[in-house]
Amino acid sequence: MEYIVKTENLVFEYKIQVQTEGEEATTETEAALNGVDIAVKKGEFVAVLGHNGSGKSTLAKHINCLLSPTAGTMWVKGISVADEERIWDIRSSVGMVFQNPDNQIIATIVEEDVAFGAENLGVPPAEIRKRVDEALASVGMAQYAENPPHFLSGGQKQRVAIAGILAMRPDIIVLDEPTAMLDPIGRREVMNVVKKLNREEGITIIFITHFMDEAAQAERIIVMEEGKIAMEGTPGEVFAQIAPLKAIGLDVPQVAEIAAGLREAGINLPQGLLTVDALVEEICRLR
Amino acid sequence: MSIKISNLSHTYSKGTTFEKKALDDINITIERGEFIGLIGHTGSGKSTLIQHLNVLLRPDTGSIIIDGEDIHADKGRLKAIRSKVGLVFQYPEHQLFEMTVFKDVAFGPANMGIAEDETRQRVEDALAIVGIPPELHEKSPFELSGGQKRRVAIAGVLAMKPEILVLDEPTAGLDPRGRDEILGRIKEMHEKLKLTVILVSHSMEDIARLVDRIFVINHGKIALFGPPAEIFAQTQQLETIGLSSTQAAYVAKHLQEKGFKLPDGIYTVDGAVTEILKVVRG
Repeated sequence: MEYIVKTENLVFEYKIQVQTEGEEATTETEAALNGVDIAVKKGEFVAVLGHNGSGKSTLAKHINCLLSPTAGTMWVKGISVADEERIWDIRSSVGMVFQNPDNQIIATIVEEDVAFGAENLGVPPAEIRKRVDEALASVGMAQYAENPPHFLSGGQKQRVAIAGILAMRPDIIVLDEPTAMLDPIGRREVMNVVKKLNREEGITIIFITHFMDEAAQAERIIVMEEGKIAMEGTPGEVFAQIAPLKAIGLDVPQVAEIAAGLREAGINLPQGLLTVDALVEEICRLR
Repeated sequence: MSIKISNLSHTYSKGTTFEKKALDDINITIERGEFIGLIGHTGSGKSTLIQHLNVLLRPDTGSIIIDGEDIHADKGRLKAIRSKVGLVFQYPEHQLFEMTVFKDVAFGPANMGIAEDETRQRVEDALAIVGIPPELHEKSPFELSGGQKRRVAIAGVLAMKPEILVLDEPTAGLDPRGRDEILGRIKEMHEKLKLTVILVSHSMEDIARLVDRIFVINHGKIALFGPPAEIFAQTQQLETIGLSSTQAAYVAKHLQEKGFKLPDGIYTVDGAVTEILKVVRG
């Protein structure tokens, strides 16, 4: 099996200064990642859940070498992140989208912003033109190519940010809470674009989120807690474990909770019901 | 403390090419002690509306009467009105600036000219109700977690002893635990301090759990209003304006369409479980 992202016992420690009044400052070491083993297949759509401080973002930043591991190993497309000479090979294959749409757009015209990354990679101008047009079409923003970005909605800005990454032709896109600051329409727009890129263009997606209904749309969910993998499985498997999820401060989609409530009361329903339609269908069978 | 908003309209950049009518003839009455949810997508006019409530913006036409007083009538009353209506902005933790948590929360009351003893008491009370323990009071606010920072920022507004608390998206960007913590505290403030609360949110689930009444705003107008059970039953209308109902409401609605005799107005997990059990067991 070919894994596009693989880690073995990944550890990341950082130092913090502790200052108590009247005493010398001391340095303490904290582990943000504490032995993480993940393996993501090419073309997979993986959601990462976990509360703030569980290590999700630290893990994400290792995938395109914004951080390097303290211990353990990580390979992206078979290249070890410790191989400094090939760091740019990794970075040009892994695109990242962050939470705040306003922090990711730098140009004054949408298409110039989308071209920025590809220009930096030294792509020839004619090729850039082609890539920018394709990328904007892919995210449904072609009609805004010549607009200034500050009049766009949050969801539209995130789609422009994604287009900028597409123009760099990445194999993997890592999205770190891309919908946290968006309204319901914006969230839906971004989610639809991400699913389409995964399905139609085969791009591997690693999607960090606090929204359980978004995680439910992934192929696989990884739950992190205290720098470790706490749970892993299909959305059906993970969201069946309501009590353990709640114990670590996470949630399950409402549908899964309703199904669990009915099951507890003795109603015979299968595991893994995550969508309104699936639950309604099963309840109809009870008649 | 009732709030009466009559014929309120506001247009941005009037007379320029960027002219935009943000509020268009809004009429709302809110009773003392009510817990109100205000929903609408980005650009619907929610933030413009709440900025009128403590006179950060002035209406083009119409008025807001709080406790019988037209809040936009007398500029000399600004300070009094702003301490009566506490406004917690989006991402309020970006406004933290002091050296310690305690000093940050004390800034508002000290600025209002409240005596030191009274300020100290208010800061302690405010931090207690948002759940920030005494051992964090002398820490830098920047050492706290995201959810804690946000609660400190809310305490800063509470220390001014407002009678009306307006919160703009208080759970945006928080993880589920941080979200539950903040919402639980807001509920407590509403109950213990008898505050009138106006909660602006995109999250239907949050709104569904807490509020007495909902106003849905769209294109600067009030599109729907009523208790949660009525609003969440209108799935079609909510979708037309770019919102959605709760998953529980959708489950109930689809089951009704399939011929199940479920009552109207189901929108919570517990409500759905109870009612579905009744019909499937016959």
